[in-house]
Amino acid sequence: MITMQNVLKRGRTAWDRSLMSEDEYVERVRETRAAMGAAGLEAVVAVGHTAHYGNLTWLSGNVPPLGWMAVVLGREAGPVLVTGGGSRDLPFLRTQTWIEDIRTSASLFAGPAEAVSAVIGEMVSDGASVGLVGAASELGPRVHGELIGALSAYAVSDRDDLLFDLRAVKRPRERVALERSLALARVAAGAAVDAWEDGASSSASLLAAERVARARGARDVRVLGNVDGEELAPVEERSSARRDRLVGVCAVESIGYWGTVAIDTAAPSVATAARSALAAMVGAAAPGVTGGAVAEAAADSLDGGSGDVAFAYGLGGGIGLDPDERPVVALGSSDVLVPGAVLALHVVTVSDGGSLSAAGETLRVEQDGIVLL
Amino acid sequence: MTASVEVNAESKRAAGAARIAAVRAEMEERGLDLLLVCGNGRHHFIGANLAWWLSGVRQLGRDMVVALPRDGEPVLVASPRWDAARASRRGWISDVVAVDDVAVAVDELVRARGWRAARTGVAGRAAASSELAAALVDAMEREPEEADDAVLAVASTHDEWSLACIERSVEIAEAGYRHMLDVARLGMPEYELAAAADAHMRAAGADDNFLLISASQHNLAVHAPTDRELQPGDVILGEISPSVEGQFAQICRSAVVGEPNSMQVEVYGVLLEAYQAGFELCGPGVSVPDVTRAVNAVVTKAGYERYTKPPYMRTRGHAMGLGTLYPADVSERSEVVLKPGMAFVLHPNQYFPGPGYFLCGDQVVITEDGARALSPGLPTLDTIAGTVAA
Repeated sequence: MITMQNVLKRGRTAWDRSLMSEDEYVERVRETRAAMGAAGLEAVVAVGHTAHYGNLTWLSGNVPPLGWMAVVLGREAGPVLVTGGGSRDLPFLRTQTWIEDIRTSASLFAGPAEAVSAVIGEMVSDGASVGLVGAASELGPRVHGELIGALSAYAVSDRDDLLFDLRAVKRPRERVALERSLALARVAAGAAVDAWEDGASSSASLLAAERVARARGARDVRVLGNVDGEELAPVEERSSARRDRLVGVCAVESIGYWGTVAIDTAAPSVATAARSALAAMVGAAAPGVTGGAVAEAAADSLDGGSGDVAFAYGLGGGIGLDPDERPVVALGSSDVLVPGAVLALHVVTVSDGGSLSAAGETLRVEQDGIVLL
Repeated sequence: MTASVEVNAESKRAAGAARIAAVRAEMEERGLDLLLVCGNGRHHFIGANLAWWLSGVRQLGRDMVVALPRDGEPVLVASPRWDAARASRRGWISDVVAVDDVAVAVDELVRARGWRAARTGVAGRAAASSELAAALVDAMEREPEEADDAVLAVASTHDEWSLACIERSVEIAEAGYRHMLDVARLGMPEYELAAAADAHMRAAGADDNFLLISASQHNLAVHAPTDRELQPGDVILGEISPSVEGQFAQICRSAVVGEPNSMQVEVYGVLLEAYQAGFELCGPGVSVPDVTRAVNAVVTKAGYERYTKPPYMRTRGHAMGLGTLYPADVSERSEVVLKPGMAFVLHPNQYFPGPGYFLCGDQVVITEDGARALSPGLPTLDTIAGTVAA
């Protein structure tokens, strides 16, 4: 998914217990422990960051509000949630996660090394095999190094792949959450188009999408559009500029799950380069097919210049608790589309005339084909 | 110290030229031939982003590097590659390379420019991805020196451009808060109220916002907005922190739905007095712990000493990105002595038994002869009429 990293969470923050009840997480933990057993791990530390939190949230239900959090899970013990926040924030955090055992760290500016190593020490003996999931990517090199150093009494390994198979197949309640987020993104994108058709500037139109999404319950909204030129950009300042068409991408997160919609005010009957390439990708998507093969279908549909631009923006891939999950849809990708996966495909490119166009579609892979959502 | 410039493209470019010149002077002092300054797309309001500060460009991808030779033009290596036009337009560095893999691009740049043997410093390394952090070492013939201080020596106090952005952020925060008071209605969910305030601030020019708005008749702390609907007697808490050009500022406000009761008035009065005591002490040469103690002394004198510590509060204020986190937290553990150009929110926010948690704080700038609060007046305990949602 096309997005940006630097967005602060500030919208509706809720644990939807009617959808994601505690038993959902109990089952996820059971499956994780089975995967740990198969991998010979006696404990895992799943790390998430405000900007990229899938592994952590899949186990805890909580999205970190500012910086990192970690779930520590033993084969018999835990889970324990370790937070970078302080004790002041515990009462609210307890309303956002099913995990009862929550530990705080020294300060917002400290890493998880001290608190996580203390929890691991309670769960396993020296020499035990401990897997880190997402630690290298979410903590940064210095803090990751501190964590490994603090766990020097154990056999520590980075196991970012541990939850991949479990998370790739969306569970029934995850499908509901994803469809709700997609519906929210559609309403938000519609608000942008409505504003633009009413004569608003390009940036004001894109802000309309943000406003409507948050007013309807989105926690995070990331909208990029053709604000100042024929490329995607965030709205960074007030502007009265109005392009010939409104083109963009609207991504919305609600209760952790993402939905994304392409915006293009070109008449539906116009076969833009983006729409043609998207149709080719949707036609190629099927269970057992690789992400690379889906991307090849787009490549076949686009000429050289349009293809280069489309590949620069990316063609999408899996979507769930992270907006950019595997399987990756890109030339050369060997990730396989498995039944149960949900994909957000998109094409953003320029036509011969140099104007930007965008198209997107979200689909679920079934045993015998795909379903457009 | 008042910002004498406006937030516009011309003043932004002037600020950029001054920052580059000042950092170059620091490089010279340290004998550095090349400075590689890293930024992190995971920007947040209590983090510094040195590459953004030195380039004027908000990065969209994970990594960004400003390569600043002591002689010659700086190069901005940004990601992703489709962001080249915006990165050129938004910043003051004309030589922009937009790529998908910054780690590879920095290595190629260093080789192409003949910088491998240069005496090199790296600033903002903690913000870099693992791949970039490794590449910064591999690209050079000898390991680069840690050089955060070469940038922070300049960035640790706000320049005129930065102060102008802070002042604009405060104006937007005040407007957002007033809008929140205008639209709040009984039965309105917290998240809807937060969305309305946020949209108002985005439309006014905020490029991001760390925004906590929550309400209860007995708040334990301020937190992210939930589904809870506004009720008569609620205290609405707003920690409102918009940014302009990446520079955050914060105001902390409390408002009662209906008429405040005597306890609410009393404890808010304690907080306001504590804020004023801290503010009056602020000035060059004053230690941050002394400011903290001035705040706590008022609360203690009112009989609430037990509540001047976690979990009943977090800190008495803090700095916010973009360029500098000085003076960091306003706490008794701080070792910072205030000096002109430092800016932070001073907020004696805390919990009281009975009426609960209240927010009271303003953005403060240290001047040559004291301190200046950027809001037009002192914080007040505001009232929202208890009307029913339409």
